[in-house]
Amino acid sequence: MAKNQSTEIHSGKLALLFSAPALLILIVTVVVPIFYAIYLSFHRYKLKRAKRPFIGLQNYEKILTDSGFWESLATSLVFAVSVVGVIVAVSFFLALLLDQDFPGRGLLRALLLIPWAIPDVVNALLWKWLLHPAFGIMNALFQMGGLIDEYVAWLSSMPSALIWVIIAYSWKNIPLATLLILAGLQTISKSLHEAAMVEGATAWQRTLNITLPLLRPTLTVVLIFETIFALKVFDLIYVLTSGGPGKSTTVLGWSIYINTFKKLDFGTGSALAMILGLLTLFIAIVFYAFLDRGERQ
Amino acid sequence: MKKKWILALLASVGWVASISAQQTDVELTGWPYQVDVVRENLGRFTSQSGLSATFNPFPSNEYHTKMVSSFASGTNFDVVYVRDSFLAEWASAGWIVPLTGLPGVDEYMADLPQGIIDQMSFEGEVYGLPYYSGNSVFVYNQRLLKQGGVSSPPKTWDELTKQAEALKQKGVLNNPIVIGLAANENSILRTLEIISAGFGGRFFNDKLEPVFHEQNSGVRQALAWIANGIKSGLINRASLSQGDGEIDQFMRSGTAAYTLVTDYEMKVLNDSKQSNEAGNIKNALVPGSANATSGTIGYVRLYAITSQAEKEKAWKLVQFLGGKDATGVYYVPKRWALEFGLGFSPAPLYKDADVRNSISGWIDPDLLQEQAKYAINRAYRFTPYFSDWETEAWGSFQEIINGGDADSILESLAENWNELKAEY
Repeated sequence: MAKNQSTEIHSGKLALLFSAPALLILIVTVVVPIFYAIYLSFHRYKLKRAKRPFIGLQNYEKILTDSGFWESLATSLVFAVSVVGVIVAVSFFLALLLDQDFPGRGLLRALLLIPWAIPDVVNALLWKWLLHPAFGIMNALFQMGGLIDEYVAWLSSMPSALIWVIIAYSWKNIPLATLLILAGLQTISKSLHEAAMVEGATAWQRTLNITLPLLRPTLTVVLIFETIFALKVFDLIYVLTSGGPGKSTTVLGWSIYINTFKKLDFGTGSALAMILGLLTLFIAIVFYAFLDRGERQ
Repeated sequence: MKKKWILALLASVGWVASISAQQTDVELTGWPYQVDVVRENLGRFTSQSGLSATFNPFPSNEYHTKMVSSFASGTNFDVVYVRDSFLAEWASAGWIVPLTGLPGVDEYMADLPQGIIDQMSFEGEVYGLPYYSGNSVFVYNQRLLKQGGVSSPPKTWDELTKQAEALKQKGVLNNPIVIGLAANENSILRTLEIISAGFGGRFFNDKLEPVFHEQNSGVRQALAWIANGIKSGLINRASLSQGDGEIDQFMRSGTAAYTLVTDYEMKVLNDSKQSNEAGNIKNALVPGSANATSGTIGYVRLYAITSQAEKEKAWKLVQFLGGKDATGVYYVPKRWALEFGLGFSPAPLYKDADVRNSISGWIDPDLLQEQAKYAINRAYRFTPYFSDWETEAWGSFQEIINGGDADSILESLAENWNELKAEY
């Protein structure tokens, strides 16, 4: 008994020793910055000012009473709901298609990864040129198709600026979601579909009653990932619209950047980042609860 | 044996440290414009002075942010590029030091116009020598104006509207005007300052109190003129998302007939290797109104010495870059003017035959000199809180142009200025 206990303690220490380097890196790169950001959020910390006093919750109070914050929160939510909706819907149907047997399926799966492999900033620059108000190919195509009479400054108008940002973001992120859903589809036994077909179930009925319920865990993971990614969008906004026209594409990520790196107000920027972090955490908990309830049912 | 290894290691660490400490006598930090040319100039400096010098380029878009965070975290710099818009901020924080008392400063000041000296000063002391300087100008495409039956450039903003309507009606261009209205440092506020000056308006009075929000202010007239222009399509809506470099593309491709640019950009507009409309782009006085003949804004980018620098060595480099080299000529400013069309300030360069011949090919030097007379004073930009205020203002001005409630937005911006003023 004593020997067993000693072996357990020994292996526990060994595990701790082996994981120590990774833990140390995590602490230095994740835990410390988070606590430092929390510390900053309770201070009037402007890089240009020598005095950086503790001000308690004043930064949070200033943010929550500022109409600009609520507007950027609303824009963030509209953006997140739209892109998650588009990504999940398109990815689901693409995954269903790629789950079928047809010639060239392997090539199509490889091609699908191209947008995902493009770095975020390159993707944004690519869309900026596609949408260029004087030389963009989108304008040329739409004019040839008779959809517009003259070239349009898509990124200078509302609501087109937000719509194009949603499209550009979705185009980049659909491949990952498709691959995750495809992996989920491949875990569903074909025999279930075959049995349902014998019973006379249509393709729609099989999707609704077999595929969707069994994909629920995968879809929940996709929803969580995509929502978190969408809420912290920044690169695309930085390159495509700079939060404009006006403040129409000012999402929370952009507000954090403006406060922290343009106004050099690290206190307000950190408080905003904390609020965004809490919002993301809350959404993740809701989705997990949804997943948990589904599994119990 | 172990001891020997440790000693050898310590010796090598000390050797590496001493080598890196001796590497450079003076370091220049700035945005990465023509890095190779800057390094060539530094090579000449080294051969003339015997002092080694290196260039440390920081990204242009993030230059202010990166420099401020580096200064605040105690990074050492010697000589740095400074934009006039953040001179006050850096000077008041003690990051850069005045040239007061350094040998030869008075002689350099005697060669510079007072407006430029003011633009390089904070609380009565001069903080550097110019890297390049000049004014914003109004430019038009002579070929397109001719096609539209317009014989001369407009003298007022209303006249510009009428000319643009004529060009649109004759099918020359759908959106004849393009101006920088993007939400960034180099676009919307600068454009508004120029147009407001043409309407006889200012953003702030001499006591640095906001006047832009007052009824019938020049700024309100400028905003209304822009909003109407965008609504009618005479001003290309793309202006709201295009920065100053991107605006050039419209002029170079002949897809716009009128714009506002910084004087040195005219070199690119009239360079046949870079512009389809080379030779057709001309400068004119910025349009005015019943209240003002014209109006423009000046700019200075300067070389300044930081508080951590070895002042004597740093001053030698600043003199070489912004003043005269060992042969007694303004070598570097002349090179920037001749090869890259950058604006200059020292009086001897205006008389220099090489410089005059060179710039005449792409800009009318007499009109340029005339335009400089209408440069407005922008002392408000030399306050440490200006950059905080303008960051908030960019999107707000875009909202007004897009039909937002001008009264409440301008009131809120004025209030924001007063709060920042009180805070600092």
